[in-house]
Amino acid sequence: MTEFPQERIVPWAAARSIFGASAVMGELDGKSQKLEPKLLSADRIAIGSKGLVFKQDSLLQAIERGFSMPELFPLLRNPLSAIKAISTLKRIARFYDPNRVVRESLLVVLRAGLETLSVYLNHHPMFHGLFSDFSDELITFNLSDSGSLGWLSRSSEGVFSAGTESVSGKPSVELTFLSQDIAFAGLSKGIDQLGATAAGEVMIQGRLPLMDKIGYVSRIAQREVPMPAL
Amino acid sequence: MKNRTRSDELFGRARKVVPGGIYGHVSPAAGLPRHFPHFCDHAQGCRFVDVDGNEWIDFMCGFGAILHGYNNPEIEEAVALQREKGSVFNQPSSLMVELAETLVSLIDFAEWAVFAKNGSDLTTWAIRVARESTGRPLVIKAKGAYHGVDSWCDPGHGGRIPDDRASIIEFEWNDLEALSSIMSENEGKIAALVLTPYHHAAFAPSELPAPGFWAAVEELCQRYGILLVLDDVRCGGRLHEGGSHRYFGFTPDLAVYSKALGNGYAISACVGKESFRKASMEVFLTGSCWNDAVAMAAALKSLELSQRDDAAKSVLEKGKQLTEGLERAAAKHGRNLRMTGPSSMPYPWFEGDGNLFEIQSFCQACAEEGIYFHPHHNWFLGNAHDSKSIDQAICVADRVLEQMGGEEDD
Repeated sequence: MTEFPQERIVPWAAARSIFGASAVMGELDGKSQKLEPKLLSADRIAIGSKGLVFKQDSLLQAIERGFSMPELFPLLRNPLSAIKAISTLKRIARFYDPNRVVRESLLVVLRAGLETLSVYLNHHPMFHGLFSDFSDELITFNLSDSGSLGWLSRSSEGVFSAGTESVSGKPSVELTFLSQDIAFAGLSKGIDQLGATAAGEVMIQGRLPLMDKIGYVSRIAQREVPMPAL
Repeated sequence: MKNRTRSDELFGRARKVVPGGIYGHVSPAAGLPRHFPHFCDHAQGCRFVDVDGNEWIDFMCGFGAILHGYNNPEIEEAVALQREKGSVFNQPSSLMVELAETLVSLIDFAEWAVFAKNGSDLTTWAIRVARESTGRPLVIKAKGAYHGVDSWCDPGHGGRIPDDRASIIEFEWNDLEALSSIMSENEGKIAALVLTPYHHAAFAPSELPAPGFWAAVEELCQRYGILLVLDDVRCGGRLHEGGSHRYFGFTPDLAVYSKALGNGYAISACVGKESFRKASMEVFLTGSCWNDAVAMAAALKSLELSQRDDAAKSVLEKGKQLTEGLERAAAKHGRNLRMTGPSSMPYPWFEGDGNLFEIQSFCQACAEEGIYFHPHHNWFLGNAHDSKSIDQAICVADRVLEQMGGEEDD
């Protein structure tokens, strides 16, 4: 995998989760801005194409606490674009409300989580070589009786990527949540990897050793990368 | 679907007080969580009854721990006799001496034996003996091989630091060229080569040693002064009464046994050549219950039955009946099922099923009819299996394979 500054992994993963969430929102409502992040110099990250730039720590604060001050100059140069991006950020947070779980929440929260996970899988030095036994792989995430929620794939070059739209190809692993509530709890708080399948809350079929490793990395990412606060 | 009310209720309780509910290789997550029961109530011979009263014909034998059948009356009688006297004392019982003498007489290269409770206790101890004996730090193992729960070899990911594996070098099973390169590149630094008799990794077909593999391994170890440590924990008793090295025709320096040794009573043993006796005494070894006389009584009786009943040969033959029957049934229905590894511990593999969906479906359907076939781990034959139980399993498999249809139907 490519060399990546270790101290930037958590903020970059957080930025990618924003991108993932906004991408799904755009697919759902056709108007939300896709907040593609960009790593800038001096520990800064741009969220969206223009206007919104955060110091890494401020970005994490913005996610955790719901507000943090972005850099002023870029904002003043593109105020409209920046305000739109801030509005999208606010709307992303609403999808994390456990009292308003709908299928759309699952799509947003899952994709955000998979983007975070992809950063860890692609860049975290702790996991280099962990997937050397695997090649082209596809993991699909489903909701019982209501189909696909998203996917995570690994290319033969070892690059992980995530998506929400339906995907072709035979999955290596299929993970199915029994219900919307179980899915939301699992995606936002983590899955009890031993108990959930035994209790029938989650069904995992296919190449279990792959899922075992993915699950381990995802639990670490979930522990380290903040999720939006309400 | 089978009734699993009590199983689920117990699991719900377990989950509150045991992390994950059930952990390790018997965790439901590692098998078929909604098709296998979570808890067992009792067992006899080759059958067990789960906590919901469902009866199963078992092909896992307590993941190998049961060689002479569950609740074997002769072993249970020996156990009951010892239990009347006690199990753990301040000193070992005379059974420790008897058991060591028995192993030394049964295993051709063994001059001494020590005891513990689990395979891991002694695979880890054995590599320390090798380090003590050679004064070298490194250990070679086969990639994907299981040697226990310690951090130098466990298959998990958590709680590990890079140092845990810094002195472990892996090679692909049967790749003699790679093994030879590792040894020459690290000449004078390698203490031990730890291997199982054949490669029985989980989630993958078993691999037998290629022709000439073991002879070459022995020669390489001798050339570089490396101890050959045989991890016979899983295979011991199911290939040859005198140890699995006899089945494949080689001689290790140290060998570790557990699983079938006590027929379900927790005990492990490490035996070694005379030349490693001194080193073995330098490496501290103990455990509060490791001289458990009840488990030693079980092991002595189990070894006696193995010899009397020619158990290894018997389970290999029974396994042959099962594996050939299953392969025939699969072929009849257009499926290419290979039962890999020795017949007494076969691992099922559908060709082209690298993602395991097919084997999982097959084992799920068999489970619904009371046949306990594991989709991800090698199975175990025991001497309590009989033609009837094996035929019944083949018959169920035949029906399931018919329902699954041929490969072209997928």
